Formats: sequence, C-alpha cells, structure tokens
Amino acid sequence: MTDRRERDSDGEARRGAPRPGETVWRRPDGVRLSWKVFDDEIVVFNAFSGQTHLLDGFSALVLEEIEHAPASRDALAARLAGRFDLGDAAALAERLDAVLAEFDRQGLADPTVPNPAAP
Amino acid sequence: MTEARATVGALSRETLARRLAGDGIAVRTGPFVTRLRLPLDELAASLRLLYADFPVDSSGFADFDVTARRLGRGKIEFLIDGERRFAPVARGIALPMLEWAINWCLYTFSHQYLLIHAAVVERKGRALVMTGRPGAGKSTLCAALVGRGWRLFSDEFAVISPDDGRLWPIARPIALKNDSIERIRRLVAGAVLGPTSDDTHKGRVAHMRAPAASVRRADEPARAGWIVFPNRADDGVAALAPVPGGRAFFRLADNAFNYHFHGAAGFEAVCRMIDACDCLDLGYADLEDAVAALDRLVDGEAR
Repeated sequence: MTDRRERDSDGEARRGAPRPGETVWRRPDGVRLSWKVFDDEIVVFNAFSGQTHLLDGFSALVLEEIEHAPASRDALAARLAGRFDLGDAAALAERLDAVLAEFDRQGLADPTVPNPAAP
Repeated sequence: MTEARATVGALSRETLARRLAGDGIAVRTGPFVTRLRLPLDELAASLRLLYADFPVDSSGFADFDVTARRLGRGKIEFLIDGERRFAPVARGIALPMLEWAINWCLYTFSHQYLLIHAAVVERKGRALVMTGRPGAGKSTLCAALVGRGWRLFSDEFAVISPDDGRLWPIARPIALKNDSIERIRRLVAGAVLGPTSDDTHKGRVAHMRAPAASVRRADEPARAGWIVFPNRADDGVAALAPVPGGRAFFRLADNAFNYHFHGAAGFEAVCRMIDACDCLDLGYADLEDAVAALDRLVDGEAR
C-alpha cells in the first residue's frame, strides 16, 4: 500500500518514468489501430497484422492507454484503479496481467525494458 | 418495333445448345459476366429453364470462363479459364457442380467486392442479409421469402461495394437441399425448380428459378437494413432477438470470403453495415412462422 500511495502522489512525472529495469508496455512498431465502439463492445482492427479483435471496456481502456504512451504495469494499474471496480488492487493487477499477456500474444502490445543508456 | 431483349430464354433450344457446345454464351448475372461452354444437352436444358430471363452479354468481355468437358465413364469436369480446378464428377450432378463452379469463381476472383456467405433479399428498398452456420436454413428461408414477393439478391453471396456499402444483386437460381426441396414446392405456389441431382456431397440438390422481376432489376443495388442470423430449433415460436454490434461484426466477418483481403476498408465497410442495420438472431422451428416474423420485422410491427 505504501508503494501505491507514493506512486499516486508522485503524479504524471512518476508515471512516465519507469523504475530502472521495470518492464514497460508499448505499442509495437508499425501497429496502426482502427477503433469502433458498439455500446459495451469494442472492435479494433490492426492494420499491421490484418487481425480484428473484440475487446471489453477494460481491455479497450488498457490498450488505449498503451497506445497513448508506453507505461509500466504499475502505472497502468494506477490509472485504471479509479475507473473500474474490480474489488481490491490484487484483483485489478491480476486482470491487468491477463489482458497484457493476451495483448502480447496478439501483437497489440510489446513488453520492453528501456535501455538506461538510451537518451 | 423494339428489338427483343437478348436473354437466354430468347434463344431457341437448338441455338442455345449449339452455342454452348461451340464458343459459348456470356450470361450476365448482376455485376458479373460468365462465359459458359457446356457441351451437354442436359445442362443446356437446365440453363434454358433456370436462366431464361438472364441477359446474354455480347460485349466480348467475361469475368469468368466456365467450361464443362466430358470424360470417359460417365464423368465430366469443369475448367475455369481453361484450367482444371476441380476433381471430375459424375455427369448426374453436372448442374449443381456448374453452380458451385460459378460460386467458386465469385469468391476466388471478385475481390473488388466484400463478399459474405449470406442469403440476401430485399423489400421496401432495404436488403435483409441472412448469414450463419451451414444448415441454418438460409437458402430455404431465402426461397420462401422470394415466394412471398421479396426481391432475390442471392442465396449465397452478399456482394458489397466496400467504398459505399451498397449490396449488388446476382439473382442466380436458389440451391435447395434435401427436405427443403419439397418444403419449397409445397410453400411457394408456382415455384419453378430444375432437375433434382441426387448423391452430391450435400445430398439431394435442386435449384429454384429466380423470379423474372428480380432478374430484370439485377442492376439495382440496395443498402442493408437488417442482418439476421437464423437458427433452426426443434420447436418453439419464431423469435427475433437483438445481437450486440461487436458480436454481429465478428459473425459477419467470420462468414466473409475475403474480409482479410480488404484490410482497413473491409473493417470500415463491416462497421458501417452494422451501424446501418438491426442485427438480430432468428430462432425458428417452422419455416412459414419464420417468414411471417421477417415480414413483420420489415413492416415494423414486431421484433
């Protein structure tokens, strides 16, 4: 809990700056997405792979966040915590991990560890 | 005196057979022209019956070239643009094989359109698209609706312009299988059916001729108004239930022949189609009950 409060209170600057060695989720190179919202179902077309994906609201928001800017799993969890009532932080983290793993498999998100030497 | 419209039926039996055995005739079915070379008397007779109202195209251009060739021991084979594409079949199933060969040409070569495996009919200016798993009764429903006055587009293809979403009619004969043949004979007064072919890989098959009015209007597209997913049940009253857009999207895309070919344009086309349509499951046990439910849907009486 302490760690979570610290991250929240640090705000945007901390969210955009993953800890050294922390995995960051990002949109893969070349991926371009088209979105269509049908009520609570979201359909996403990936022009890079030619695949179309059906997402629920939670998954769509995770993907939207990653598309907006690369983010660590903890940063994503912090941003989503206030928007979905999934019980406790552990439940949210579990759901998020499952979604990220699925995105990785589908080619919608890449887990990367930033090179600290890079500018 | 106006010049007689050049149709298959306007050709004498002898002329049709001679041309089919020679250079062939080019038949226009909606936006497609198919050159047919069919040196088989029974195919000439079936064509004269089932394609009587279709225009014979004299432009010299054809989208597809379908040729039947006799082999020994009661076998025939079909060539597409002069190439062997299918295994030889018994001569007794020449007509359904011809129809399947033309279907094969459409979904193999016609990527200027988004093609969905669906039955399509039109009433009041809007098209009703029925798609779903094989055996759901699409062709039978299609034939029954056409018998009630709906305009036939196709029992097999939704032919969609990906840029503007319009659906194009083909109005080729409706393929009926097994029990559906007798059901349609009983239900549709005046239905004209071609010969029944036994022992196809889909069982017994017979084709119902398209109404002349549908064939004449084969150059009039329409926009989709309803997407219906039929499901036959053992009992129960026909019922329509809304399908969420996302799920409807995937059902349409899954039944498309070439969704992936069109990339983002295909995605946009399917999205526009879902937006423009009521998407509904149709559960039914009785054919006439289902037809009545679809009539009421279009009349705006009930869901």
